[in-house]
Amino acid sequence: MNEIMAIAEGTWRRILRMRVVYFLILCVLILIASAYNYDVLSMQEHKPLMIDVSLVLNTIAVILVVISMTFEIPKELREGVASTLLTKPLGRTQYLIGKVVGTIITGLIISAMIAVGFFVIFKFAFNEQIALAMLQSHILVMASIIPMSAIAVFFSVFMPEMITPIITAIAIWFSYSTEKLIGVKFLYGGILPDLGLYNFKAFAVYGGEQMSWSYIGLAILWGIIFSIFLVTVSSLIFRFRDIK
Amino acid sequence: MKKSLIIHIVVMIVAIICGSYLALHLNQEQGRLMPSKKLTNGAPMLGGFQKIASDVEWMLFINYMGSLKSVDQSNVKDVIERLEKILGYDPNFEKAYQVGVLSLTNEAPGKAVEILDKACQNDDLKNNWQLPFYAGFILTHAYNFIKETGTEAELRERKIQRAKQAVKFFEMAIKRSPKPEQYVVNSYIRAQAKAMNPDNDKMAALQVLFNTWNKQQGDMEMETSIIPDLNQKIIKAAQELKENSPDDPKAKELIEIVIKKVFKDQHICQKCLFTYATGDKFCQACGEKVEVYGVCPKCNAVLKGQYCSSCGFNARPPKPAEKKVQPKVKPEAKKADVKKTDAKKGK
Repeated sequence: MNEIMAIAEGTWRRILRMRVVYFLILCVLILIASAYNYDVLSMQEHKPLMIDVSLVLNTIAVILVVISMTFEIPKELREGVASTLLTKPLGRTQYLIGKVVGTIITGLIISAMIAVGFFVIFKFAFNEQIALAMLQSHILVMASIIPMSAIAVFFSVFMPEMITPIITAIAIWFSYSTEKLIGVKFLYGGILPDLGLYNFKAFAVYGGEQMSWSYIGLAILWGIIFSIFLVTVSSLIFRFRDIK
Repeated sequence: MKKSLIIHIVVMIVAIICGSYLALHLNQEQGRLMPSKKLTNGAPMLGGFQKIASDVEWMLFINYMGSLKSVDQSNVKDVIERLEKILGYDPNFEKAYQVGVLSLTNEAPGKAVEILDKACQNDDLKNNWQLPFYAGFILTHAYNFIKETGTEAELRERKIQRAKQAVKFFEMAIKRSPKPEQYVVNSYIRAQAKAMNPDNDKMAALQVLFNTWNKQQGDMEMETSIIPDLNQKIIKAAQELKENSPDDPKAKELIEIVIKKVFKDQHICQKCLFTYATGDKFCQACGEKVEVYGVCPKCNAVLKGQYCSSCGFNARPPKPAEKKVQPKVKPEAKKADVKKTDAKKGK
């Protein structure tokens, strides 16, 4: 466990140490705040627009964190950092789990910062209380990093450094549409992820029936189960890979 | 190595099974929370960003509409396409229905009603009474400005069919509204009247209201009508009918029946159907002489209670006293009395 956390810590520390990350978060918050000026252009629909923009930008931020990770494993393998790490009493599976956990923690921190920033902006702009649906939707966006990071690690294990981010981005994009395969047992949700389960953007805007916290809990649980499956597959592939 | 491989495979299988079942459950739960999700189009292309796509399309639509002088045959197709795109991405976009669809009413009323009908079926918008109202309104009004081809009978039939369709929408609007607006109720009555008889909708309106009243009276479960202030509406409809068709014998007959049945306890002027007050000798609406009621038989002053406040006359004299009835004695009590008298005699 300590080894896993050491790998994870290395991952999140490196990203969160970069100043550009905070500059990008600031840019995201400025973009969210700018939605307030769309009142005329959207015919007074600027409030739903701001909620939606915040969720979209938060999702994009999470995807960017995941994509940034796809460079890391191939780079470490190429530069021989991975082989150095693996000479220590550290299994390949532990190395991958560490990478996944590190990505998740990085994504959660960045995503939480954006969400909190949005809540402050929203409160200032409309002087309204933050609706529970909005909070829950942002939590689900944060939780979506769990399966996403597993996808990123999966492709990083066997693909070249240049293609991995593109393939990962396409896979994440495709994962929002796998609901069409709901009829195929074990494929839907088991082998193929459905990131649409974390997509509550319309719900945050319009509200509706109250979402139970158990849904969020189960969505996180599904993300963990799917990550276990994908990391296991990645670990199997990684085992047979020759590391210089 | 082999043991580790087996563990990997077992973990994968268990994860697939658990993940699949959990995902199915979550999908169902999400469908319950967002019923309009199944109505959303373009999911594969937009990767979960349908809402922002609809917002962007909405702003483009507003810009586009601003560039048009009016919606006419040259641009109506484009307007419909843009609108359908917005509503395909976000079927809950109420403003797009209200502003966008109403811009189609003159050039493509059929399409406008079709889009609104879809919105009425959307469970997320089940509390919105304005959408069915707009649909009914378009059906009853928009076609008046369109030149339709066909024989007179065909046109009449189409009009009736549209009115029948409008009735359903207005009824939906009334049922959805916690306190229906007056104009919604009036539109509902008018549409029902048009569906019944498009040539004389005033008479049909009174007939519709009277039928509703009759239904309400005959209903054993006392289900209240969806039309509030039914009696007031009946008298207003009767007044309008009398004013519009004063010489129509059928109208006269209907009014007479309605007044006799619905307003049997009220005093109504026979000429203008205005309800007059106690002591009135002439109708204050039309000046017609009316049958006076509620006055003292002695001094003709208006009665405020049992006794006349002007002359002290008792307007409600006591009823003739009833015969005193001997209280019935129970047979057991009679027997006991006989025993007592016998005992006295014995002494």
